[in-house]
Amino acid sequence: MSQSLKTAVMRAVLRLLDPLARLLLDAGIGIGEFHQLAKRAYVRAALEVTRKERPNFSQIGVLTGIPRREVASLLDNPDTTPPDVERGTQRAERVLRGWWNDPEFRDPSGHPAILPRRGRRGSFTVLVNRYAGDPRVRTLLQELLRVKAVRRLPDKRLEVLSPTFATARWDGSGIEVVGERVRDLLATLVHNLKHPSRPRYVRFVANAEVDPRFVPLLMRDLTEQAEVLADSFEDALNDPERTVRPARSAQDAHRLGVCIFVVEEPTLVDPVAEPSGVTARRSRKPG
Amino acid sequence: MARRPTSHATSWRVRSSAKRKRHVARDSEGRASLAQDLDQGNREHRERMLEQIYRVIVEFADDFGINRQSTRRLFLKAEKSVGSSPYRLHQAVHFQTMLRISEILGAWYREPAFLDENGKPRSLPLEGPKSFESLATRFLPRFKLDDVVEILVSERVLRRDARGELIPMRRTVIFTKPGAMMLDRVPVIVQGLLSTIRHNANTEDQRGTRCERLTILDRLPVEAIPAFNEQIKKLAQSLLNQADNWAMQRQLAPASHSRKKTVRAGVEVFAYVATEAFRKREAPS
Repeated sequence: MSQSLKTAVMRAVLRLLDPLARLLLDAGIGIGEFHQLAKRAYVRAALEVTRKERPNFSQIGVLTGIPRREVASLLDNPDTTPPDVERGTQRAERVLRGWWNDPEFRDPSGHPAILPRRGRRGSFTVLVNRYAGDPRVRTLLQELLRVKAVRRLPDKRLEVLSPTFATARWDGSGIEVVGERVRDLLATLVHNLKHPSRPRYVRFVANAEVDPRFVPLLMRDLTEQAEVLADSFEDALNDPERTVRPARSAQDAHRLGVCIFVVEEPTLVDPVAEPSGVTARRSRKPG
Repeated sequence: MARRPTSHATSWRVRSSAKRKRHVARDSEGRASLAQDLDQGNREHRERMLEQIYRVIVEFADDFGINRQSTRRLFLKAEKSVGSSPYRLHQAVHFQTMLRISEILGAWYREPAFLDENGKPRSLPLEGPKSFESLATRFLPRFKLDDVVEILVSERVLRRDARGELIPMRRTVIFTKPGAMMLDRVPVIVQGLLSTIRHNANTEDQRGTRCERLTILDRLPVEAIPAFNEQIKKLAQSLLNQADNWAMQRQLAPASHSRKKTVRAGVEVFAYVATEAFRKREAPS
């Protein structure tokens, strides 16, 4: 890799590390622990690059710059299991969508109704059966209660709190979701760098000079439109006809998804340099 | 006599040899007529189209309590006046009022002064600076403020909150009661649709045609109709917002002195549901 390309990668990584360092500081993780995590990630990446049945510690050590003995120790405790953050997510999303949108599950004012747990009409059980297509009502309810998308009222009825299962809460599962989304985005961007002839769709649209007065309006419209678009993607992606049904043996499948997110940060628009001569003309008195 | 359209239904019944031969003959006629159908329609096809449009209109008149005698009289009246004064949008005076009301809502949902920190429309006092009055007098200066408020509250376009301030209930104006504004809108929609069909029929170049799209869902369960209506309303609102955003950067400002020629263009989205009773009524005799 040329020096200029290496510099570009290092700059990109530094930009990437800014929000990551903020997250780590908030979580009380110091540079030492981060250093250990980075080493683990390096070893895993090198293992993937070498693609050998039995890991060659010396080769990984040369590639990563980590001593051979430490490579062996890191590979002894691999911790490679990805967090199962998507378990039940699609089912839960569909249930929440039905609760917020289906008139049968809304009150007369148009808001999501408070539902009894059981019942032949307008109950949580009916909602789950219709939208999750899964008889495990209790498991789904526990998941929704856990991420605080739903709460149980003193009279045992259920109130929906969030239109989405995708939580961004400062808890274990919320933080794991951050890791997964950033990993997905990076994987797509890196894929496009490596395979420019068959890129995956990426498009970024922004204006760094939005008048702050219009931010609430634009946020509202972007959110509403993204919601409609995401619902259409959800319908297309999770069509049962296009989904591999579990069988006795393992079958090939693909993970396909779309992620939409909004970016927002304050900026400054530089003042316009006053053209020379303007002051003189302005100061000239008529007559 | 007009030919019935070729049926798309598939029959799985096994037929006798004679019946099979007759069926084959009918099939080949059907194929020939399909080729003709794709070609430019002849006079017979055009007259059939018009007869069916009239039928739809007569049924519509029935639904609104206009008897056959009045329907005939009104048709003759329209026939007489079409030469001297063809239908134009400016004749729909009540519809123009409806457009002004939708502009009030448009400004309420678009101008930062009328939005809260979440981008939702603020509740507005009736009078004073940044009030409902300031919006109403901008778009409906000739109407009494109290009348405008009364109509919009009774039509559930606006509601009063606990403090008596006004807040919009939705972003679009649709009147459910068959009042003057709603009735005036019907010929505008029909004229818009027919003008697009006429334009497209007369336009050779595909790039010059106007949008006219249709999707038909043949097997929608009846219990899914409320969800279908909700979904289409959501999709339509998104489409209209995007059309507004597109137009905002291209439309001339209201006080523009540009000599550029302008037109009024629009998009109308509607869903329909043909229930069983309606299907029977519309089946050709």
